[in-house]
Amino acid sequence: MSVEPEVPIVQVEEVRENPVLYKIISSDNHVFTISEHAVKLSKTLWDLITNLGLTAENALDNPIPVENVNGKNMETIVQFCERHKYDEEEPEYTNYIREFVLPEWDRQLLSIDNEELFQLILATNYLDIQKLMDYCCRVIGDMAKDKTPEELRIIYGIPTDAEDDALERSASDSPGPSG
Amino acid sequence: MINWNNLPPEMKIECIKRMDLRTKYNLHVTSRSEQNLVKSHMFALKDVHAFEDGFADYTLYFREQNDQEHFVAIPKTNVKKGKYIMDFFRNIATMSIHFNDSTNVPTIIAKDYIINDDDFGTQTIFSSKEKLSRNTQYCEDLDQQFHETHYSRL
Repeated sequence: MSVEPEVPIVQVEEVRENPVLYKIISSDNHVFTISEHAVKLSKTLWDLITNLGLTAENALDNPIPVENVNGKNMETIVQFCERHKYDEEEPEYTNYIREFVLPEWDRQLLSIDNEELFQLILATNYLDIQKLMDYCCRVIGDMAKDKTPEELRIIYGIPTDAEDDALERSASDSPGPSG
Repeated sequence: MINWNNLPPEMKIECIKRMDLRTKYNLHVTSRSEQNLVKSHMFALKDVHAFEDGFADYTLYFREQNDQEHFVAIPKTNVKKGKYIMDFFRNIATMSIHFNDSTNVPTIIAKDYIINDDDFGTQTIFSSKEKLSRNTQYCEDLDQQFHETHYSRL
């Protein structure tokens, strides 16, 4: 007859629920709290944290200002990083377009209007979050699927060649900066 | 307003990489700047094969870097033999043509292919795993049996 050893079982989830936390301030002064595992998804933020020498003891007392990202985008980014902080590496796809399916949770998160999505991808690029970058590029690419060139011009805001030429002419006609 | 035009070229290219060939093509014809961008991406096709049926169509087979496959059927009534295919591939950096000894069917294999304005003017593009496997086999071994099976399905 075997006896169960009286060893406390520490659930992995419990360990995960006590992370080191960092504070981030967006360009419009919204404050966000993000866990260490999540913030590591952003190469820019993690480099900053490392360079500033922030530790578990002083992290919450030293909020990190991020002047290029507004609160709305930062909220999405923090949600994304917290969601994916324990993800394993993506598998190697032999056919990315056919095999990769954007998870439903992420599709919902990125179901925002086009302008917000373009702002988000710029913020993501600045913060260097590869996975979110991949997902945003996929959503932007999907926007174009089955669209005619004329529809693409409208969706992406692409000027026609004539409009491009007119812009170039007006730029070259306008006087340059004085002094 | 922030839109596609605000993205730096390297980010646009990341988005373009995730588009299928038809979408890339449609983007490429929207304006000169997008055309240059798509071409600069050089979505070099791994394989391009063109083969001619004895009585019906030309079929072009493309495989992109991401392994997305495409088949383009060209009604023979629209083209003069050989000329269209050579026009079609006029921007190909490297190209070689092989003839099957028994059937005399030409196979054009190309890399670094860049799409042109009029490539898909009147053709239909279709893809399927079934056609892929058959065409892969075809490209590896141009046997008459496959040739007949393939074209009976078109």
